[in-house]
Amino acid sequence: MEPSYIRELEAIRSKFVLMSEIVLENAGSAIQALQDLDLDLAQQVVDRDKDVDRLENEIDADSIRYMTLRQPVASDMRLLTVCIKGTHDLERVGDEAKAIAKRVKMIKKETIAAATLRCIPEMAENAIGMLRDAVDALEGQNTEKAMGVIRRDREVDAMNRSNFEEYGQLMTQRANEAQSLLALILVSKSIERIADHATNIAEEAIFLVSGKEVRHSGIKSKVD
Amino acid sequence: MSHTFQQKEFKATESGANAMPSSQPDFIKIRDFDFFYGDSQVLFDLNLDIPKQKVTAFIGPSGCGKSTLLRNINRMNDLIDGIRHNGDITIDDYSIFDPLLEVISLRKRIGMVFQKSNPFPKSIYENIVYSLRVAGRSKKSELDEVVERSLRGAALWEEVKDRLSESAFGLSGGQMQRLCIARAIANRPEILLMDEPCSALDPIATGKIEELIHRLKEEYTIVIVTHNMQQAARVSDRTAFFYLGKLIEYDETQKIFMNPGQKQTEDYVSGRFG
Repeated sequence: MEPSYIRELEAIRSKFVLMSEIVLENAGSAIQALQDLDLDLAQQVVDRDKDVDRLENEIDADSIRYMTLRQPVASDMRLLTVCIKGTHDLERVGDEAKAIAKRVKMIKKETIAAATLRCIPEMAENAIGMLRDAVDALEGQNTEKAMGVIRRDREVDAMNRSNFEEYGQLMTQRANEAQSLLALILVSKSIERIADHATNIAEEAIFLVSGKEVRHSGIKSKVD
Repeated sequence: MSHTFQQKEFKATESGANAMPSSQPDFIKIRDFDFFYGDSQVLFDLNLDIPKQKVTAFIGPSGCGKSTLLRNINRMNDLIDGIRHNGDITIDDYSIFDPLLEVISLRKRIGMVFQKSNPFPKSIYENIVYSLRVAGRSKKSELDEVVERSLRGAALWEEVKDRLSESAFGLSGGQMQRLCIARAIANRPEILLMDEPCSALDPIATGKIEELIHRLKEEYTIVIVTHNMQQAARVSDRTAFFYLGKLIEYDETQKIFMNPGQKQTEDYVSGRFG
């Protein structure tokens, strides 16, 4: 049987994984609700965000308690700092999913019917895929996978810029759908932010494995 | 004719790799060092350089050889029958094992503080000046100066200046240990060896000793053996991790506790074994 301090650390890690699963499911559901204009599913996303917030508080409290009582060092300490920072990113992803879900009711059927979702489904698939890989990289201590996540962030950024331009043009042509189109611009921005948080978690995964801080190191330009 | 330690004709032993490149001058060099109690080898091929005026911590589980190595630095192990060694330890590039070296001259350069404070059954004052009296120095003004300097150096002067003639046994545990540090620095050594100096002290006394270690390194090269991981992290600049008589890793303390290079080190400092 593992010693109690290792079991406590594993419990914190497990909560982090649970939180990431809920966030991933919520982000996927928010996009599904958008595509289907499913207000019930959108409301479920909004409701489930409370679980995400609760887990963030729990993981922070558990981590601080562990640091105070167990005085961890080396990779144990890095895991806890990564959990604290990573839960902040996950919570923000949860907020973005909630924001997308709340915008579903602002979007008219005809806007969706006119296939103006453009690359939003593909962009969302990329961003949520990045988040999945970032969490896997962290859990599996896989720096290669983490680097792959960082590499893909630029694609999502480019899609977001493209959406901004295209929706901007459409707003001049289809003034009666302006509110829907504005909502889609904001959805695009939320998806782009999800990819940014996935990138942060990937950087944390690299720190966890190597002890090297890669934030603000220009790593995004180096991995291309 | 025997030699004193200061004589320059002793040559450096240059064999062995530098185990810890450092911006500080390396003061104590341990090279290819094996140590045996009779037929039993307890230290294996140790190579490490200890920089001047820094605190170097030796950590590792019981029986790993850290205290044995510490006690080799001032040749305290000479008192044990059947010991032998291979390799060399040099201080300032002079071999401490040179057959012509007077061990007393070596020990004048090295103060030692033990796990259990061991004041002499004498007054506080006489504890400090004991070694000076043995060396034939008896001028009162000089002895007074040494007592005040040493007690101030050990952060004890203000607490005992009005009762210097009282028995050292009337001091608290933490004060006794600081008295032993004062006694160790009375002769102005260059090196202080500390073997678990806080293991018998409460947290407040431990804090005082640790603060003292921070100040003492401005003048002395300090090597400390400790089982307390947090203490090694708090007080030392370099940390050497030993296991089963072998040096597993030696690096900046920050590196050892934040991101060690060896899994064995990681497992030990994070409490997974030992």
